[in-house]
Amino acid sequence: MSDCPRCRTAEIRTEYQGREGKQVVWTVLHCMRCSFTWRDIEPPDTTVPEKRDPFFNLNPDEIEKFPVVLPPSN
Amino acid sequence: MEKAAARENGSSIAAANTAANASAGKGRRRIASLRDFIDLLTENHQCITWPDPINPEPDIRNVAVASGNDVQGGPAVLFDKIRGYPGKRVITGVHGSWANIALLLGHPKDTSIKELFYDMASRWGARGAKPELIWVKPEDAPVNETRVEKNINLYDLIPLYRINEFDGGFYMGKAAVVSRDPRDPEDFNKQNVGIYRLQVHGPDVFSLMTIPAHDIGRQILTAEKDGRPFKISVMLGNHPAIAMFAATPLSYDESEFAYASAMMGQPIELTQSGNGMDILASTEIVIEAELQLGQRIPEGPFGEFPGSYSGVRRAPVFKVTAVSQRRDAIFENIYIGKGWTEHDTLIGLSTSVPIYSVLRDQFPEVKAVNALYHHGMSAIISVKNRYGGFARSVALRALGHPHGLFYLKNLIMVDEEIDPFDLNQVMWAISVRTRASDILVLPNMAMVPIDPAAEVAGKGHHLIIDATTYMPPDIIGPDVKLVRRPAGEHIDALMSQLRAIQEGGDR
Repeated sequence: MSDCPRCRTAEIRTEYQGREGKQVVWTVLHCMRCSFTWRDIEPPDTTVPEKRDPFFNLNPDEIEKFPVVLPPSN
Repeated sequence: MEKAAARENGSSIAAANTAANASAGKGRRRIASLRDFIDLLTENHQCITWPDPINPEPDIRNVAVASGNDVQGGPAVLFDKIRGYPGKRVITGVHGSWANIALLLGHPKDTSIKELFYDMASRWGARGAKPELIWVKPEDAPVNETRVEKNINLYDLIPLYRINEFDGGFYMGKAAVVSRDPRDPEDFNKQNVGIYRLQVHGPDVFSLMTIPAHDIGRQILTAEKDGRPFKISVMLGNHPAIAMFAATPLSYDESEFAYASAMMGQPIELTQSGNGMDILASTEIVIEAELQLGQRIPEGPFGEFPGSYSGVRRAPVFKVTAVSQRRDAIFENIYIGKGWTEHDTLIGLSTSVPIYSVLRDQFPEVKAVNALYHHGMSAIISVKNRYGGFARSVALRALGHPHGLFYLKNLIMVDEEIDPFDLNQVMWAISVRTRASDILVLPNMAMVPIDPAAEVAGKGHHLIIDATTYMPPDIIGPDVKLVRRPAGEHIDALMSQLRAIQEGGDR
């Protein structure tokens, strides 16, 4: 299983496999670090780190720095 | 000829009100569900089923964009051959063209936007109209035909897909979320129905993007402060009036269901979800979920309506407790991103009419408001100029409207005889009726944070272009006299006659 296309960590989970008959035709994967989700047959602009627009890639160590939309009261 | 006359009357508020009251829901075909509306669209060639097998990405996105490129007449598209999702169905573009909006409002599909605007305005004026809410027992409600409470996997139950290529995941972009006031859960009118974007983060987990100013944002903060459980029901594939009118800003204690019924002049059928929310009885899919108090998860990016991605934020998290669906459920979604998109046709009139309504209370000289462009980031107001400078005062009042404060970035003021929905006429007015001194810029104002032109998110400008006629005490050049262009019912009738001849009909 490959790393997350967005943050390059290996904390990946399989969410679901789409089938035609008994044949698996795609797999949905999820990154537990940055919460990116992708289907393995999507175009490479989305799923291949080297082909993605680097603007959209994340540093896995900086995820806690993203703003919180509703800061919890407690 | 009758049609032409009605069109001309559309410019007169009194006539429009009379026409709308006469047809307030009576005689119009009843729409009780998304499926009813799909039938109506199909009969009018405004909904098609995509014939070929497709991949979820990028095919759904591409077909949805291609259909939406025909803003006037693009059809809704139903997909039922999605690879890996045998038997599952997706629909996009239900509100994606003016033809579809016209059919929803009970008009022929070639009805002009201006006519639709005046119809909506007259319905808005009748907000006191009596809503009709019909209650259906949960066991009789179509939405409960199937139900899953264990081993829930949203990716299995719903044909989810990525809308834009750099979205952070798979979004439900047209979900109507029902929630109750955590401190007053029994009050039907304080129950909120709102459209929020939902990103799926796991088989039974999703995030909801909101801000403190939204009703649900307030409710989430209250529930977390009190430590109370906070449940929601997410409705997907709804009666088409809900998406159209739930997006309209209402006061906190107005029921969106009652409002949608009043605006449609038709009954709305409700039932109760498994977790106690009032929901549409015939909605396609309902996801019941509970807020994970205090938890936040990275949400986004998401391609938003100004045509740019909103960045990553940490958003509230919900855990799914049950999913109810109609048999052969249809997952309704939206294509949203760089315009023009379904988002613009969906909310354009609901954005324009409340601004018009407020302005007319104080300035009956205001004839129409066209705020169709990206939630009103650019808008055109036609007004009968009373004296030099009057239109600018009206413009400033528009900027004081709650929506205007944050959204009316570029505002063009035109004379009453200019149809603000006809951009050729608007451009004529700008070409011949503006001087440098007719342009006002208010820099460094509060602005919707997702304006991609912003140097600092949340700040921006208001620009007013006064393209109305010069009037005393303005100084006017001595040799200018405009051509009187023939206009009015007679010309409209001639246009109809020309069209009929052109199409081979009777004179």
